[in-house]
Amino acid sequence: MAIAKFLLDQLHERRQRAAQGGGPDKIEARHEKGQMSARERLGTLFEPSTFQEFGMHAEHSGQLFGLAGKTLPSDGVVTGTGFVDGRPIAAYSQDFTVAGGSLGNIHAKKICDIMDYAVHAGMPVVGFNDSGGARIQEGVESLSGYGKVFFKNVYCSGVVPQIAVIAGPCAGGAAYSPALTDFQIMVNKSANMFICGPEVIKAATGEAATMDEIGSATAHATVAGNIHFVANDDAHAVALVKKLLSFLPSNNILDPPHQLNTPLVLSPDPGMNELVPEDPKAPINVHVVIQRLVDGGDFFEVQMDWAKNIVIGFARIQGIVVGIVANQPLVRAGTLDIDSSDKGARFIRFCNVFNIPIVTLVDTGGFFPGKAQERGGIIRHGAKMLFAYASATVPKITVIMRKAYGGAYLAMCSRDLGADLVFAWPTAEIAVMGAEGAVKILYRNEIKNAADPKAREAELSKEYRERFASPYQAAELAMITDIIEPSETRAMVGVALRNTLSKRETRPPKKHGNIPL
Amino acid sequence: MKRLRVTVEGKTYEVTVELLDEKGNPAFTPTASAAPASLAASSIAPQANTPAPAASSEPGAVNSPLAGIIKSVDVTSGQTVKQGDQLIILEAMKMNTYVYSPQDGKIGEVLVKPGDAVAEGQVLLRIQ
Repeated sequence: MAIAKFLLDQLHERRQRAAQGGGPDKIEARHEKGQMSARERLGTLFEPSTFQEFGMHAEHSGQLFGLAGKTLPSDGVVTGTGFVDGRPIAAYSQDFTVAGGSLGNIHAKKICDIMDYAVHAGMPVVGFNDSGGARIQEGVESLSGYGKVFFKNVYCSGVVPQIAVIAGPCAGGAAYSPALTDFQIMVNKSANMFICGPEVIKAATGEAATMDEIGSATAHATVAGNIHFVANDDAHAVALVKKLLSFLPSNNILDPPHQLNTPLVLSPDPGMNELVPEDPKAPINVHVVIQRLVDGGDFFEVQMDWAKNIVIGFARIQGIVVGIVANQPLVRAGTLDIDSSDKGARFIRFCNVFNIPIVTLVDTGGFFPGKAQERGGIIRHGAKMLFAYASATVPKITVIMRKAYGGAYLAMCSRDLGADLVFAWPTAEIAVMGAEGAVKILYRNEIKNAADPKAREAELSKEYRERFASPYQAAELAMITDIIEPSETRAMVGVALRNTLSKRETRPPKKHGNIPL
Repeated sequence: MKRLRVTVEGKTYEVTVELLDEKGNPAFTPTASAAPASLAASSIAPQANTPAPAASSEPGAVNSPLAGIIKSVDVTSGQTVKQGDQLIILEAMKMNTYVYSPQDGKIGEVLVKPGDAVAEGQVLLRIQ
């Protein structure tokens, strides 16, 4: 006795047909363009044989405009779970070879179902977006499908990490699903993303725009700040997903994958002292500081090409996963402005929601002055940094390397905004404003009436600088945990991260705060 | 499992240590947390992108990256420069910002001198 052979044959045949998607010819055409198929993307992401597919035999439900009787294998999207570095991950991968990866009713249902499963099981969601857009033949059902996917994206937000790979076209409303996830990775050249394409813009307003200007990975990574990583090709995109996942917990109730068996090294790193120039006005490249601070120099930078005056990314310090937020004095003098505030605040909130301690490296002269900033809403945008830090309850460790002036000092996680520990280097300048500006206000009359106003002003500036452009006034007022040599930073931050591993801080219950968006 | 070398009164022993839980079973070691060795840091660095210069900027013009005061002009008209050579130091927000040559060439007109206040995007000098 055994199961009837024809039943097995039928199953195998159906499996084979579904696995071929739009057929060998269309898949071959993709290979020629250097692209992977939908299934190959998942095959590269997951460890061999760990893929468990959901809805391989699903079919479209359309009856109009020639869809009736037509087969669309798996309805143009492959969904399921698999293992990445031994952890289960949920994923969906739109199949461009099946009706252009267009989104219909069942296609959307499959994406929603896998997200439901992921949020219940507590696993991250990775989505490969490669779709021509709505399946017009299915009408408003298709539009409704997008709405359902967006709702699920938001439902999952803050519960499980969501990563979107934009691997092909992603146009119109479709672009809002990736936008609602935590991280967006875009494949250079083969992907484009926009709300209104060049033709629509031209028709609507007469404005001329090229795809490179509005929809390319470069435009999104450097100008718009919509995406977080640019990949060279599909394989690189998958490698970036895996690397990113290696820093993230599976869900919001787990800790990130710390390496707690890493021995704590408490000896100083003299090389760090050498990085600090004598001249307080000579900028430090904060990338070099970060490289020395993190384990193995392995810093996974996020949004490296946009708002470069702030540097954000993931690393481990003495085994503990951290999110790093650092001013970059090489760009716009390390000031905070509209874009860098948006970039920093969103990252801080991601770290907070997924239990990732935040290490803040401060060297900023202040908020960037200027008409464009004020009229662009720097108050509203800069407030996001304050809001994000003040509302974060994960361990917050701040290192004031050099400049920490005015509101930007506060916005870079000062003690007052809830930093658990604040270390300052002896080069730290913590003051409400720069010496030149301060003496002009404090001693206006004295300078005006002096025999040599210029000389008196310089003298007063020097006095002010000696008194306030140091960490000692702030330390006297117990605003600083300790003043340390740069060489002691890795050891001190390492100890602080161990000590705060079980930090617990509860706030009054509320639906959510009202961050100035 | 961990191998340790222990020296007691000058005599060296090599021992293997295994962590056990309360019931004597091997303790759980979170292998999943280890970053996979196959992912060397360099091989998966995100791709760096430099935006194309804005179409409006004239060829050869070196623009000020931000508003500030010119601290020094390190080149003179007629001088040959290579891409990456330091051209100008300007001070803004209590910090120096270095302006480097975007290309190889010869310095043409120098439009600023130390002490000048410049606006963001203002042409500082031209390279031929």
